[in-house]
Parts: sequence; structure tokens; C-alpha cells
Amino acid sequence: MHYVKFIVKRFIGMIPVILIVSFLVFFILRLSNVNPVTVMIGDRQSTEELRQKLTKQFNLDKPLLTQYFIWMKGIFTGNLGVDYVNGQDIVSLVASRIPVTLGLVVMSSVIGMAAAVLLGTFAALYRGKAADSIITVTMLIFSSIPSFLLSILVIIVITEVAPGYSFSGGFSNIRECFVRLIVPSLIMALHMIAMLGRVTRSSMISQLQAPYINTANAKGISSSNVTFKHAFHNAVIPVLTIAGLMFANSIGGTVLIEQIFSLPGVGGLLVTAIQQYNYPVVQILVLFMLAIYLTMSLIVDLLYAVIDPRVKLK
Amino acid sequence: MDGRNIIEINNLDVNLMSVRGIVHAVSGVNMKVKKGEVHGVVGESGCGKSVSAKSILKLHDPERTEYSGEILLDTEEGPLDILKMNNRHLTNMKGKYVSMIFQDPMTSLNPIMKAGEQIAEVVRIKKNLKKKEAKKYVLDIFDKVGILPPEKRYNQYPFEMSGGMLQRVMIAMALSCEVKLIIADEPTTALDVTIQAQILELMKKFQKESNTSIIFITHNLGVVAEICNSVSVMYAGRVVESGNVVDIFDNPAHPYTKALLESRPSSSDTGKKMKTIAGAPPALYRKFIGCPFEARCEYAMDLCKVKIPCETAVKEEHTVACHLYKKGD
Repeated sequence: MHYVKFIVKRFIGMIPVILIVSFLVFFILRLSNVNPVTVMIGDRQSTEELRQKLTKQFNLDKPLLTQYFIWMKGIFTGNLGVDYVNGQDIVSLVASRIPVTLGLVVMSSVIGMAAAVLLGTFAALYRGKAADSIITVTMLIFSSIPSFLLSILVIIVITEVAPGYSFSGGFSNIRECFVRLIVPSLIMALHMIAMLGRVTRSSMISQLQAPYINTANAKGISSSNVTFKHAFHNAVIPVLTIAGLMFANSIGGTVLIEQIFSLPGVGGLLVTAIQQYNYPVVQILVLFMLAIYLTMSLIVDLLYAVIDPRVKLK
Repeated sequence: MDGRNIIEINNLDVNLMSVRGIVHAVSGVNMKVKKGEVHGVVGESGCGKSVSAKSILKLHDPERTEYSGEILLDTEEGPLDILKMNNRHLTNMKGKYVSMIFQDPMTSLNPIMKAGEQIAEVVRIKKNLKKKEAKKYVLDIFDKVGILPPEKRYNQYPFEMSGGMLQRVMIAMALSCEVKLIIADEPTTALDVTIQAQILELMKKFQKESNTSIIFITHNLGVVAEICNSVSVMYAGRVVESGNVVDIFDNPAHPYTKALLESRPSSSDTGKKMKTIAGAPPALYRKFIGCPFEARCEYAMDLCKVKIPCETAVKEEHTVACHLYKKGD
């Protein structure tokens, strides 16, 4: 029951955060000296008539604050109008991009976290042995290679090894989508494994040396029980903190990866929108990323309470 | 092995690999503990008390520790050498014949596991009980050792309890499987004095009731006098004197034991400078040629520098390792 109460409380707490961020995004974008009407007209012949028509259509003649409220109303009613550059419906534009980004983030995080915890624990259990050294050094190497460099190397290798693999163009079904996403997901996951795996390893090592492990050993329970029921459970707590942070980072990371692999995701859309001064698209994408971030931190906090009894949900 | 003994440690050597080299933490330790007796182990810090005690359960990191000698345990199948047991046998033996109480109850219990569950977990394995039976069993023990109210305490986590209460949980854990020998490694050092008295009282009471043997490691000679039947005095990884508690306190033979006893503050010494033993125990990185206590001993002779003294009986069940006492003296 207190979980429900906690979740409701947190959702209420999110409202001011979203409002403040939306306010900041909206007004910071308006600080730019680029006139939206110029953006909308683009290459077309600029006539006074057209300018006035667009100004009216997009409520640009109203005060900024009123424009902000119109936008906020649009968010709650699901009607965000059309974008400045192509005149497409913003809601359907963003909605069509979400699955790719979400797929990328979820796939890379799941692979990354699972592999990191497995490898980190494995390395900790074989501390000082060859297997541990190989894992640790490999992780160190991968955590110091920037993901864009790695992506380019991977693309070069794949085009040599498997020329049939396509890095561009669309996809029509889930299988094709999966095939397109798996390589960038793995690259994002690799970075996660490298960072999170080392955290898991050191956390596990320090827990295995804790006095209560001595007690557990002296009790006469099996060593797998000592390792997993006692040490692992304690070791996973700091790993969860870092995993939450890394997940948040990976949302930002998609911007780069989607560009490199020319994936039609939210990140790519955001970059294009910024370059084109396509304000309404930028605004809604920032809010979208914020929403994912907030949801994720809520999930991490809930998991904390599940794993660590010392954490009380308030 | 003598049938009256629960455990016999013969010529135990424990070498620990450390970053700075091999530590000869325990060299040639002999110790016998009778059934139903409390055997105290005293000595300064770093003289191998804990290391020898932990060796009984082989709790040292197997990769960095070298044991030799034998630790004979009296079991249903006759005397068995713990050092020669395989892992499965060892896990079986722990909690069935021997259990251990550690120094600091705050860190020695798993911080994120319910106190009751930490004991129930062992009870289920060692006593072959079902979940519910195990819980009832643990609640009974909690009641006995004064962890009240048991039902509430069972579901509490270590961070919700006081140090004294946690040490009771440790004791409950050690008692839970009706072992033959409990190793108590400074069980009262981390507690304040009033709680110390309660915990000692509790241990004494259960020791009498169940006739369990206890190896009681401590710095505190007062505690030894109160609770122990026999004592081993350790110095630099060896037992320098051992005997029953009255002999050791009234007729200490080894100069180190004498010095230790003289260092106790007593009310008649008020205003005088407290007696101490000058110097510090030696580091144990090298093997000794002579008596390890020679540098601090007021009776040191030339012989002490070149020869390690052997154990000599000064009286029945009272042995000392010192050149002042020759065989047949």
C-alpha cells in the first residue's frame, strides 16, 4: 500500500519539475534572435501577406507568456499543432520516432546491465586470476574508447565482414527494426558494461571481505549461499545507483548513436530540429527526455526500497 | 586423542601471505580444551589469538594461508582432523560441532537481512527444519537469550537494534544448533561495561546448562578470572603458558604471564605509576631463533637468545615454555 502512496506522491512531485523545465526551455529558445516566421518561410518567396498569415496562424502576435500557455494547453490536450519547417503534425512526428529510441535505450540497458553484473561478479569471484585480469583490462579499454569512435570502427568492420548489413534506409517490420537496432544497442551496452562492470566488481570484492561474510562462513552454509544470498545482495546496492545514472546518460547517448547509424529516432530528430530552429519540436523532445528521466529515477528509487531495507519510502 | 577433550590443537602453524611478506602468525601452538570447560586465551594484540581461533573453522582466505599441524575434533565418527577435511565436510562440521561469536556484532551480521532469518537460515540446514518450524525454533531461542519481544525482534534488521541486542543475536546464532564448542573471539570488547556483564552472565548461564565448551579469547584478565576454567597465554604466535585458571593467576610461571598480571591496575595501586611491559610484541615476519619474549624479559639469559624454549610441565596440566624451567625441575 505504501508503494502506491509513494508513487502517487512522486508523480505529484514531478509536476513542478516539468513545469519549471518547460518554462525554461520555452523562454530560453525565444532568446534566440532568429525569427520563427523566417524559419517557416524558408526558401519560399517572402511576402508581407504570407508573413502576417503565419504570424497569426502560430499566435506569434500574442505576448510570449500567452504563447507559453497556449503551448502548455496543447500538451495537456494532445494538440501541439504543426512544426515550423515542414508543417507536419508534431504529435505524430514525435510518436513515430519514439519506438526506435526507446528500443535502443531499453535494449542497450538490459544487455548492458545484465552483462555488467554477470562479468563484474565473475571477476570479483576470481579476483587476481587470469580471468579477472582479462575482464578488468578489457573493461578499462572499452570505457576509455568514446562510443562514436567505436561505432565508426564497428561500421568499418561490419561492412568488410558482412556487406549485406544495411546501415541506412527504412525498415518495415519488427525483425528488420531489431536487426538495425542490435548493433548500435550493443555499442551503447558495451560502454555500460565497461563502467558498470567495474563498479560491480569492486563492490562485490569489498562485500566479500566484510565481517558479516566471515560470520556467514562460520555458520556452515554453502559457499554459493554465502556468495549470492549474502554478498551479492549487498553488493548490488551501489550498482543500482550507478545503473540509474548510466541509464539517464544513455538517453543523451542516443542522440549521437542515432546520427551515426542514421536511425530515425528522437535523438536524430532533436539534432535536426535544433539546427533548423524548429522550436516546437525541440521543446517537446526536451520534455519527453525529461519524462523518461523522471520515470527512470522513480523506478530506481522503488528498486532501492525493494533491495535495501534501510531505505524507507516516504 | 584424549576422550575427555573436545578439541586438541597439536603443533599448529599458520602462515599468512600479506603484502609485506609471509606472517608466521601462529607457530607450534598446542591447546587442549576439555568437554564442558571454558578455556581462555589471553595475550596482547597481534599475538595470534584470533588467528588460531579462526583456524579451527578454517576461516582464513584459503589462497593466502598455509596451515600445518593438526586440529583434532571429537565427533560422532571419532576424532577428525579439521585441517584435512574437504570443503563439504567442513561446511557440514561448522554449525554442527563448532560455532563462533565475533568481536563486533554491528558489522558481523548481514546488514540487510532480518535478524531472525539469519539464524533460521542455519537452523533449516543444520536441523532439517521446515520454514515455519525453523521460525518457531528461533523464536524460542530468542526468548531464552533475552531478545524480547521475540516476534518483533525476529523481523528487525541489525540497524534497528542496539549493540548488546546484536551480540545476543550472535549468541543465539552460536547456540542455535547445539554445538559442542563455541569460539568466542572477544565477544565483549565492542560493548560497554554494563552490557559486557550481561553478555558474560548469559554466556556463563548457557555454558552451564548445555555443557558446551567455549574457547574464550580476550584481553581482559578480569573476564578470564570470572568465566574461565583454564587459560592459555599467547605471545608472538605461541602458547607460552597454559594451565587451569587458579594456577595461572596464583602461581604464574612464565615471565610474560607474571608481567601481564602485574600490569593489572588494582585499587591498592592508586596514585602510583601503572606497571607496564616495556616495548611491543615483535613483528612476525621472521622465524625466531631464540625466545620471542627475550627482548622484553627481565629474566633473560644468554640461552634465551639462541634457543626457543620447549613446553615443560611445572605441574600436572600446567605447562610453560621458558628456559627458567627445565624438565624434571
